[in-house]
Amino acid sequence: MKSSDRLQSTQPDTKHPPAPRRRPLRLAFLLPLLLLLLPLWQLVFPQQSFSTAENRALTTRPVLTWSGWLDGSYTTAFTDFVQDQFPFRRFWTGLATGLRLAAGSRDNGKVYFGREHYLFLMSDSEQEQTPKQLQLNLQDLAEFAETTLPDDFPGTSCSLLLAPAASSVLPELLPAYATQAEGAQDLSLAAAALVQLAPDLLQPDVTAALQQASSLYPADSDQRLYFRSDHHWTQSGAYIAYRTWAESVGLAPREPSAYAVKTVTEQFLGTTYAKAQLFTQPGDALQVWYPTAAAFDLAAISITDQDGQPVSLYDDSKLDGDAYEYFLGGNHARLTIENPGADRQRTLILFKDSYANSLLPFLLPHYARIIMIDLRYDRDSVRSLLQTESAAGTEADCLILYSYQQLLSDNYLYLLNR
Amino acid sequence: MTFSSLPFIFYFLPLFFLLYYLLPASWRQAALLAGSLFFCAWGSPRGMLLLLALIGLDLLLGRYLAPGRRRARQRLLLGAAILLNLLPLLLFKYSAFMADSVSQLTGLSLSVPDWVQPLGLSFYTFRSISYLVDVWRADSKPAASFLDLAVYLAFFPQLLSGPIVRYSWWQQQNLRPQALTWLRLQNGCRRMVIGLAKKLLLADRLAAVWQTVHQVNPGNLSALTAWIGAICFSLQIYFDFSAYSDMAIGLTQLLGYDSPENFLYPYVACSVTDFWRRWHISLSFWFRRYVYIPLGGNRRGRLRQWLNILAVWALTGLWHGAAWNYVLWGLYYAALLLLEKQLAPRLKLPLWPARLVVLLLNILGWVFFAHPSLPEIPAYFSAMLGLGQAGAADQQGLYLLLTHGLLILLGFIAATPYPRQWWQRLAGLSACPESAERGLTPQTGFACVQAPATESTAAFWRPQKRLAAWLQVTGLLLLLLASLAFSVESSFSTFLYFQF
Repeated sequence: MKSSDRLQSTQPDTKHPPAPRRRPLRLAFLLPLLLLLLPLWQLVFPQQSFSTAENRALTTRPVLTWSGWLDGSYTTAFTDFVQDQFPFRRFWTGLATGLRLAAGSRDNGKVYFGREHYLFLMSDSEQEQTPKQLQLNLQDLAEFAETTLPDDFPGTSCSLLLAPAASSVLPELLPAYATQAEGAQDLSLAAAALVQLAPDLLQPDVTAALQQASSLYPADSDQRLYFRSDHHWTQSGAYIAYRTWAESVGLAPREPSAYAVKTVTEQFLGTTYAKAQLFTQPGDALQVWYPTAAAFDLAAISITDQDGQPVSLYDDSKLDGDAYEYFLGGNHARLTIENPGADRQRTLILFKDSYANSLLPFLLPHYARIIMIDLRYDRDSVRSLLQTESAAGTEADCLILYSYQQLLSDNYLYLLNR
Repeated sequence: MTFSSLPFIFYFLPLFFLLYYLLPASWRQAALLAGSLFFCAWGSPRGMLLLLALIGLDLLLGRYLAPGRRRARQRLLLGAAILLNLLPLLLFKYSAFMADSVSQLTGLSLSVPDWVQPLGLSFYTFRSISYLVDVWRADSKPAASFLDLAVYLAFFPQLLSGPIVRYSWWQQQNLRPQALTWLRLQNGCRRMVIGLAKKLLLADRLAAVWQTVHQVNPGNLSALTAWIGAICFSLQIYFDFSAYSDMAIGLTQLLGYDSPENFLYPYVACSVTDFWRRWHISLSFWFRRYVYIPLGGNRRGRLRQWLNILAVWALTGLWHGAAWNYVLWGLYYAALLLLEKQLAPRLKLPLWPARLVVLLLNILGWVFFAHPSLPEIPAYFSAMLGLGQAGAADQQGLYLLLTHGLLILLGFIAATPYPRQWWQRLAGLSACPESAERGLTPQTGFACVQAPATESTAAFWRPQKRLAAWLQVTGLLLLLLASLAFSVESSFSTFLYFQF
């Protein structure tokens, strides 16, 4: 027996080789149990309710209710919670972006990853409804310029300053063959349509001026008209828009030499960065055109918001977060800006979106009073303001400053005529 | 709760897995039922009640269907039972479609309430019918207990997207869970990670391309864009669904059960018949076993066979969605199959040309599938021919080609068995033909539904070389990390196949 056993065991079994005694790495397959660390983590560590990196509110742990379970809102919220409170979320989203780019993609559905570190907003999925919304908005603008303003505040001129998106000004920096989020053509079509609807509305061609200016600066120079990681224009871009507008309404613009340009931060990562989540994105420099005495006296300016609270033209506290909010501390519903030392004792009524925040300082020397209204937040009647000012015998101009992107999707322009 | 969502991967799966194996073996079936019901209720609480009702009903009906003396009466009962089981499916999935079609035909305006379809309804309805028929045919005994039947019908890895395992197979193979072995653990984890990677790294990325193309009115597409769109749709629907099957199979193995394969590299099929032996195998098998053969199959003359084929494929199409484009898609395949039956004896193409022709036919077929709005279908085809307004190529097409060409190429490579074969050679794994590994022989085709990916075949995957083992574990971990990155980043994107 013994010998036969030995015989059998020494014969090599070619069909079924004996498994080696050390099973390599099988313990690695217990790694999945590490998955349980996540629920623990999410139980123990405090939750974040806002992500500065993504510039949005995060979902926190939902409360289980019977009705929430039945209608499915609890399960949706729970999924969002696990996703939003995932540890080292920035690492994961950055990794996903890196993988996308490595596979050759040049967009993530929200932004294009352009050349020279430029991030361009893509038109979003709401675009289907935008032609309609754009049409409504153009009609509202025309009604305001042709009917409301002449009726309620006769003798007031009205101009429209449409800020183009970075992709219209710097199309050569888009990825190859990328269809522009906002074609320069679309913008000029809208402008042309508006000329038909509202012949009295003055429309300086800011896009052409910005395009011309951008061809003067090499793309890699420090002089940028738009931020690389934010959808806004820089103050250099805003200056060009201001200059074009001022010349078209017959004002003498202040020369660039009247300003001292200073960089307040080199680390600005703005809204398009929040959508891109790219590790390697370099920070943008926020260059501020501070007025010198040749421009106007900054100390004489007083700004109050709708509640009468003072607002400062520059807000240092914003430099760590969304640094574009350095200008005026972000959007306000209604601001009144007084400059007793202005060239003229006129009033400017300014309807605007955030592109105006960095342009406002350039307007200050020209008007003793500027009423700046953000229709997205302001709920006071525009018409009663116009009628009051008219009754008081104010001499005023009116400026509507919107980005074309805002005009495409804005839902509040009807308030102009209310 | 999809298998690729974070709550499933990090909460449900590990917690349930721990609980399941900490409980004594005799409790595991009950734990599995509880877990499955929770899983079902997570998506739709009311759907869970429907599922429970269906289980109770089938348990009762099954008792009376086992072969007895009154076969004629039992036959009637079987018919009634099948209708009863189909009723929820008809109500939730097809009532709106039927009302719509009748309205359009007759001009009457019928309206039905807009019910939300319970998750997995199409899948567990088909499983319950297989139970009733298998019992009636004496292919299997009626379920001995509520638990046996409930675990089969509600089994959460297969609840939402199959594979549609027939009851007689389940009863032989899976009545009781087996013990967890290292091999099972390894294979389960490997399949799960591969499924996750297929879904999150390939399917979702390709789906985004298709979404971009789909947003454009087909009349404005260039030929290049239209082809990129159709190819991306073809690849993403395969990766989406086969990823789900991979995960389902992996989970099944982790829980001590066995699962048949559901996909076998369909895009390398060398004939349309071959394609349907490789695509959604469990569904094709179900239709063959429970519709085609009962209708007479090919045994009642050629005309009858043709009619049977038409019926089966129209139904297959309709199963995928309650709209006419799915029916068209099914009939398209019926036509191809009939044509192939005529041509095959006369026309013998070499392997690669045959594969390319079949792949092309499949890509064209998905155009039907992808457009629930019928007028878009001819417009899309003419765009593919370059007859659209944008001609042969435009900026969008070039952009998509430049930015996603690599992904599409990777997709095509990953859809073939070659990466697997390269790895087997590299790792010094035993040379195992794919068909043998999956229990499939080319001649029998459907045989793989009979044979599971058992432990003995799955052992082919265990590298014996230390370096290869390291490579495999590292590769899987990297895939897992990359997949998690996309899962964290993505807003909740569901599997395409849930709508069916």
